[in-house]
Amino acid sequence: MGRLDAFNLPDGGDVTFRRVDADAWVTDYPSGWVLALAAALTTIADRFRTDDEPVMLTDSSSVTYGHAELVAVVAESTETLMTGVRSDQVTTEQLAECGASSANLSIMAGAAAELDEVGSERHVELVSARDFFSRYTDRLMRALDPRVRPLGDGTFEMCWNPRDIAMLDALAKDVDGLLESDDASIVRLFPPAYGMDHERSAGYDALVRHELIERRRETLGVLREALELEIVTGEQLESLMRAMNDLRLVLGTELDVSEDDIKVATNHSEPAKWHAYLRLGMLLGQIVEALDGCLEEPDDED
Amino acid sequence: MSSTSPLETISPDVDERNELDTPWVVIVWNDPINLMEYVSFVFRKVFGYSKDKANRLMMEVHLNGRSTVSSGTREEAERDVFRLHEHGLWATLQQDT
Repeated sequence: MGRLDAFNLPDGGDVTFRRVDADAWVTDYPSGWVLALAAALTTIADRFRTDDEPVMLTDSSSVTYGHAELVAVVAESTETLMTGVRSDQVTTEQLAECGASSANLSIMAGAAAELDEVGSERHVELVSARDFFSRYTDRLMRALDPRVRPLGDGTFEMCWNPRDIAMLDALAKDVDGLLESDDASIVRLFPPAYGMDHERSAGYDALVRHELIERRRETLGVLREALELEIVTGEQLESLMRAMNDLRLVLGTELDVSEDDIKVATNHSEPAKWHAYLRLGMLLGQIVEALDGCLEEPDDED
Repeated sequence: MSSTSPLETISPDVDERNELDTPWVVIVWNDPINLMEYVSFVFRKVFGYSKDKANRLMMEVHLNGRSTVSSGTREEAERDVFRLHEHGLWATLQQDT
């Protein structure tokens, strides 16, 4: 599953950010989280202390950073992050700086991990550090850039920005146009129900494909209409969620996203598409969080 | 008055009985794109599972590559698979082994 959320902490162990003023945030870092942070920072510091195997990194603008430059970025990012974590209250700018530092640390841990043998002790530690900072960045960005707000009456306030509207409208239109094709990018929208039993899978597909296409078309339509709305119902938001997930599945397939997708994030030939993929993940995460908070727990369960 | 008794009794062969008796299971497979919290939410929404159970199944998918998320008759399993496909999850059904 997506690396943005591949991070485990004990229940209740995640960070929280609460805006208390126009430019003031109260942060809460549970002790388990601080220990995980220390471990992740130590892992990265140890790795960049040696230049036996220098880490190089090329970003989406084709700028290449050498090992010495990355060592400086690690030190600076660590200091910025620790200043933020030690303060009970921070400004929006400080929080954003923490987000940028965390994103840098995640990218560098991922770039370093690529040089190690998959499954080796150091590789596992670096991947954990990468995922830790990915998760932290994601939490920060959601707090700084809220796009969905439950209003408490079963409806939700949507805060679209023009770039998101343009991106989502264009993608929804494109994917709608692909639904009846045999384009390879839509393979994840129609998985084989019987796995390797091709005959049964084909039979099932013949029965349901039309209905699945129609339902997808419907949710994409709801998404495009909702781009002009400020308030949506829970039902509309669920359609938005499914439609955005479909867009993400198609983009992810086109980008050939894998579990080890940091390589794509740091050196990809299609930065606009990659940016849209990441942005969709951020929006989708916010929608899921908003809807999840409204689901009731069952009375009893096996 | 015509008799409704069958002229002969037809016994189902072993495969046929197996087809009828053995429950079908729905399996969700790991994929690199779906967000973990999204998968967990879909389990809660589609099956009515608690947050704990949905998270446990999601982690099984993530760590073991797959998880059995429901079982029942073939029709029930096909219905569940349809709903999971509708939500973009990579789900298959097969007879329990």
